[in-house]
Order: sequence, then structure tokens, then C-alpha cells
Amino acid sequence: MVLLEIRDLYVDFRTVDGLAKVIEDVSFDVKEGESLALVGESGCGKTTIIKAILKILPDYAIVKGSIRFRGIDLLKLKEEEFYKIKGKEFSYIPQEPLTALSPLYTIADHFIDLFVSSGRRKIGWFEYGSLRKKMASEILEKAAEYLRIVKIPDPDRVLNSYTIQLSGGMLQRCLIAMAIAKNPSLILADEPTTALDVITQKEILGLMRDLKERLRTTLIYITHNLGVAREIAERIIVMYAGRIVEIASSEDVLLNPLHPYTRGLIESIPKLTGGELKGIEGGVINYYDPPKGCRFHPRCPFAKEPCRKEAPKLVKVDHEHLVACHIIGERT
Amino acid sequence: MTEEYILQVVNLKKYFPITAGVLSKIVGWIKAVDDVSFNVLRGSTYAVVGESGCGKTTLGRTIVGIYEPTDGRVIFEGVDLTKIKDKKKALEYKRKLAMVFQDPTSSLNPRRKIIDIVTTPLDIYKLDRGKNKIKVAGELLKLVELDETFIYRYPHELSGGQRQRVAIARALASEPELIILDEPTSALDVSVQAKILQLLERLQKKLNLTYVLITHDLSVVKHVADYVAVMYAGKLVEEGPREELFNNPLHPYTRALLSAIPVILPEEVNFVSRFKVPLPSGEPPKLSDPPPGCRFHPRCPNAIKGKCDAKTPPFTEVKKSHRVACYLYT
Repeated sequence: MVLLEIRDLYVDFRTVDGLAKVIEDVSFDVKEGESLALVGESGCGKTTIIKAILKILPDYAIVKGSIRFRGIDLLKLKEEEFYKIKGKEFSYIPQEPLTALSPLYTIADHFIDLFVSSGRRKIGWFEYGSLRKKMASEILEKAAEYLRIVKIPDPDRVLNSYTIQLSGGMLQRCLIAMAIAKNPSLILADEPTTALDVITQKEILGLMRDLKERLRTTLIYITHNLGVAREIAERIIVMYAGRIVEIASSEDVLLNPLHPYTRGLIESIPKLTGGELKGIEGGVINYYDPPKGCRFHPRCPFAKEPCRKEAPKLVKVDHEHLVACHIIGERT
Repeated sequence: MTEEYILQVVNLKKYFPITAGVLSKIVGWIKAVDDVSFNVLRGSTYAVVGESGCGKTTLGRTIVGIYEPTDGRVIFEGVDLTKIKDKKKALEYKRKLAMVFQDPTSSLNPRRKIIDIVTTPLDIYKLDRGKNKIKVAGELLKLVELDETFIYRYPHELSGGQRQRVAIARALASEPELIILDEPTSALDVSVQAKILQLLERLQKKLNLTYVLITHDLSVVKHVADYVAVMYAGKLVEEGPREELFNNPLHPYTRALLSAIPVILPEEVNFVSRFKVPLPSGEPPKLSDPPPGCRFHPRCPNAIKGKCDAKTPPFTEVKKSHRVACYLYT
């Protein structure tokens, strides 16, 4: 069953330098219970998509298209109704645990906030105070339980700690505990392990995989690292410059990549077994004036006439394998 | 011996004081680099690998002289750099040592043009070539495969990869023989990283450079290094030629590190699964208060009670030029 259905999503940013066309023509489905990775290099718009789903983009962003959650178009909902759904169904794990949590409050305070004010846009201080008084002990009990689930051995000490007293790995565990504490149906994780060392990363990935199985939630996982995507996701969406270039199962993306960008990316990753590194010529694109046609064509070794004129559509080349490329589309 | 090795680091220590109170009384020490020794062959690439906070950046900075070592010697071309008193002579040696920093966005002054950035070393070392800056800057940019017209631009006009090329050009300005590369590609995307690694390799061949590469990424090391040293909590735990270290890693920490790398190809999965070791629990120790004995022992699955937690294991050679600091092998 489809949990989240994104159709023709466009996100533009109105800035002093003009209109930045960041997300262009993005459509994909997220099936209930699956884990999906959004992969791409920095600045390709992965985080923007997540933020569009959560409606936390800045005011100067113009979002067009539709994002349907269980059939309800989130973009058309009134604010209060949206916050009700968001509070109950969505959880977000941000990239940098140290900046995501406030240094002025303890982990316990963060947990209390999460339960007291979730599902609403704003809360008055008086109401907050009384709710907090009423719910605090219950919440902390629950929090300790969830911290144990993410394998924190001494939850009481951690709950009473400030962020600077805990390591990056510990903070990321706390954020994961917060994310699962409300039993959401969709977890959106934005590079949760990028700031961590490989050994801690491996632990956290294992933990997230276990939790996902146990809680039967759906996971959208953003990463720039295809190795990480392989460990956590069943399906991978590869993005380049605000567009989707390829969607396939993890195995197909890694072993049978079709889009020239995906291929270039995989050939650029240093392998433990050696082999030549190719890299991709050229660099970042200018979102104020993106290349016409396929956004990858200035860097693509196979680019031909149609690539410069018309943006390729995502086409099915195989069961569950979609590619947006004129050259590949022609061949199949 | 000394001619063969361009750089010898002998028992190098760098401790930072922890101060407290109005009088800044020293209450403890952060032992960022604690008794590290290694030798670097001329023309080779020597990689130091470790997780964040293990002291690898401090090691690099102490070698080039940004930090004064607490103890130990840095012998460059047979001369102990820590002992040179004569400033002029010190400059002459320092000219041959350059450094490329991690993040090109913060290591390039945003208010200066590229031409000024890349020619700064010429002024510092008072080199004659510095008289014709336009020509020299153009040559340097050509060397790092950038367009000469970039000399009048500012860093913010360049992409991350181009900025790192400028940083490399600056390091090359004084015609060094050894360059310390401190995570030269970790701020870059993989497609750009591959290009920078290729460039570094070409430059090494062309100019007969020696590299000391500081990184956390073992897969990068596998591609560029000749020798690899693994650092944990301020100490080297293992060192060896690349192939030997990757095919036959000995220290439990090295094995854990290798097995934790997120890989993509089936052959890599096979390669990594050979070292299937239980992931070490817990976190690296605080450098201000490291555990006694082997610093890895509280996390080590193979720790021997009464031995590993009592005395620091010696760094011994177990095979030709493969050294390890672990009681399992001595």
C-alpha cells in the first residue's frame, strides 16, 4: 500500500538574486513499511524534499504539486489539521545532533517538550506549564524505556544530562529514541550518521534497522553515501540537481546502474578492493539558471542533441527500475 | 638510513593544558599525541588513519610546526626541526614542508583574491620568484589544472573542488618536498573527491612529492597510500605497507574499523566480512584521562585481563615493516 505519494513537486526559492528553481518535477511513492533512501551529493535537494513534506521550508519557498499522505493532500490542509497529522504520524531525525538539540535544556526537557507540544503549531506558556506538571513523570518513565530500546545503558543519567555532556553517538541515539517515542508511521531521517565515526555509524545503522523491523514503520533515509544506503534501504532514489535520475532496488542501483550520473557516482567511490577512480567532470549547477533539458547534460559524457533541449521523463526500464535519461530510454 | 627517510618522527608528544580559575592554573593535560614514532620514505604516501578526536590533525600540525611539540623530535632530511634556533635556517627547512587543510572554505581568506592567496608563501619565505606574482600564480593554477584567469577571483566564486585546488596550489608555491594533507577531500562530494585524488597522484609523480595523508576514510587510503598507520586515542596502534595492512590487519581496532566501512560491491562485502569482529562497544576515551595500559582495552573484545589493562603494549614489528601495539601478538 502506498503511504506517501508525491506528484509533480516543484520547489522554488524567491531570493534577492532571483528565483532559484531547486526541486523540479519530482514524483515518487513511498510504500507502507519500506525503507527508502534518497541519495545524492550535497546541494541536490534531498533535504528540501524532506522539508517540503514536513512543511518546514522557509517562507520564501514556493511549493507546487501534491504530497498525499494516506490519500490526504498535505499541501492543501489547514495548518492546524496538518500539525495534528504531523505530530502523530511523522518523526524527523536531523543531521547534526548537536545543533538539533538545545544546549540550554536537558534531554529530559526535550522529551517533555516533544509530548506536551506535539500536534500543535503553538502552545501558551500557561497551558504548557500545567500540562508539563501533569505529564512529566509519566513522560520520563516512557523516555527512559525508549532510551533503553536504543541501547543506552543508563537512561537516568542521560535524561539529566545537557547536550555538551554527551557524545555525538549518544545524542544521535537520544534523537532516535525521541523519533520512535510517539510510534510514528513515517520516520524521515536526514543523514543521521554523517557526523559520526564509522564504528558508531555501523552501530546506529544496525539499531535503526532493528527498530524499523520491530515497530513496522516506514523510513525515508537521506544520505550522500551509497554504502550507507545499501545497509539501510530496500529501494534507492538517486537525485541530481533537484531532479530524480534513477529509482530502483538497492541492488539494482549499485550493481546495475543505468543513468550516467549514477554510474559516474559509483565509479567515483573509493572501493576497499581497489580499482580506478573515475570522478565526474565539472561541478555544481547554478539553480538560478539551471541547464536546459537534462540538468546533467553539461557533465554527461554521452549527452546528445535531445538532452540539451528537453528534460527526460522517468521511464520504466525494468520492473521497479525507473530512469530519466534520453540515451538509456532510447536503447530499451 | 636518514637519506632514505625524508621525515622521521621520534617519540613525538603534544599535550594541551587544561586550565581553570582566574589564574589559569593548569589542572590537567589533554594528551592529543602521545609518544608517536614513524618514518616516511621519500616519494611515498604515508597515511595516518583514525576517528575524529584521535589526535591525527594535531599530529600533522605538530609536524609542520603550527604547534610546538611537548616532547620528541621531528627530523626532516636529517635535521631535527625542533632544535633549529637560527630563524633563517628554520625558514629554509619549513619552506620544504607544506600543508593542505581540511575545509577549503575556511582555510582560504574570503577577502583576498586567489593571486594573493597562492603567492603568500613566496612572501613568507622571501623567495625570488615572488617578484613576478602574476606569472607564478598563473603557473601554480595551471599545475592544479585550473584556468589561469581564476587569479583575479575570490574564493566564494569557486566551487568546493576548485577551492581545494587553490589550497593545493598555495601549498605548492614554496616548492615543497613534503606536503601534509589533512583530510583533503572529506569536505567534498565523491565525484569531486575522485578528481582531487587523481590530481594529487599526478602532482606526486611530476614533482616527486612526499605526502603524509591524514584521514578517517580507509577506502581513500586504500587508493592512494603506500604505508598506513592507524591511530587510536593519541597513539599509533598499527602500521604497515598498504597491502599487508589491508589483507592482514592485526590490531582488534584496525579490524573493527575495516569491518565498519559501508561498502557497495559484493566483492567488498566479502573482503570486509573476513574480519567479522564484534563491534567494539562504547566510545573512544577522553584524551585528558585515557585508561591505563592499552587505550583500546575497555572496548576490546579480546582484552586479556591483568595484561592489557596494566601496561601499555609495546609497538613491535611482527612481520617485515608491519608493526602493531597489541599483546595478542607479542
